[in-house]
Amino acid sequence: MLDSYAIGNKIRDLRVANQYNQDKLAEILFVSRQAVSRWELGLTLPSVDNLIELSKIFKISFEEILCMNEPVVIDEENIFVGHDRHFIIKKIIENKLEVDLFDVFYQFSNSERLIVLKAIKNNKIKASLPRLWVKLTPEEQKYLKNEVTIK
Amino acid sequence: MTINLKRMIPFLDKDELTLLIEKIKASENQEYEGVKLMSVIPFLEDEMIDKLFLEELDKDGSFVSIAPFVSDNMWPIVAEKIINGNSTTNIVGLFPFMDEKTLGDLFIKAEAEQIAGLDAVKFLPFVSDEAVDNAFLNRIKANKDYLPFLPFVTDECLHQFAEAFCQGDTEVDIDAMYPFMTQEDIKMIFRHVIEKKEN
Repeated sequence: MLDSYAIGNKIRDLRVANQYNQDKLAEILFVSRQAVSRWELGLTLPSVDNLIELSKIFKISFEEILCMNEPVVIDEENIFVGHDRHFIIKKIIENKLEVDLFDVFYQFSNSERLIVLKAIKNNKIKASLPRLWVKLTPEEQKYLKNEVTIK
Repeated sequence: MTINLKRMIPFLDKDELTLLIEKIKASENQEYEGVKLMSVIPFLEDEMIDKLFLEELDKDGSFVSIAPFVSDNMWPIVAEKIINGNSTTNIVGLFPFMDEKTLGDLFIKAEAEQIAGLDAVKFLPFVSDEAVDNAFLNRIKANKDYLPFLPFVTDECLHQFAEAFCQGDTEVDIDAMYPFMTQEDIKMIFRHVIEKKEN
């Protein structure tokens, strides 16, 4: 999964560094200015064709525009700053982003909490449940209770 | 001297608790001498809790707050009520408590639009990966909106679309799907398109 927010920032930085405004870039790519704006805000990603065109215009690889091979740097105070929320959640449940769930659990929305708890329940990620337990609602505790032995 | 009824709850017997519940239910503000239904629930027997839960569900009352105490054999009954249209309440709050099978059955019915007012997308964080993948594939076949499913679909399931696209299947909406694929699949797709453009 890609980090649309980080990619949006990358496209904006490349556009500014190459001295294009949004209108000019949109004109070159035959898209609307709003489309460029939405990419830069991380709301959508360019199509495959447009991304290949962008890599030609900015003379860098598509991997660089897509922020592939870049380490994911997070701020523990707000793990979502500068990133797509789905991207961060997916990294966590795939064990590709190390966070102390006890410290960051309050930052998740209700559905994100359940996605993370489901991953714990399915043994996809390891977490110190006795420690986390106090942060869970009765509903969330019940959700885990039947499956997980608290040691 | 005034007696604090709330502090006495743990010491009440079954009949006294039943009487207290009747008084709470009969009162206008659902409270009797400072005691609300939720304060009594943890001290009731399972059978009584289940009965109260169904009553609250039927009248669209505070059934979600009772849900953590409900016995597991209640969920198929609840699911049947929902499927038969006997419960029109917002039951999304109950999903975390339901067992996987009951939830999976409800999800299939919601996907088939057999439960009025219940959007199958709301089930996605709770149902199994297999159920999500199957529903996603069915939506594609039926030409239905599959975009809300993409963040929940497994990498393995999306991989088959990456492969199909690279093998020339132009029906695949790769622009919508690639952001949710693995880096390996994304690289494969981009290299395929670049190669095609160069030739």
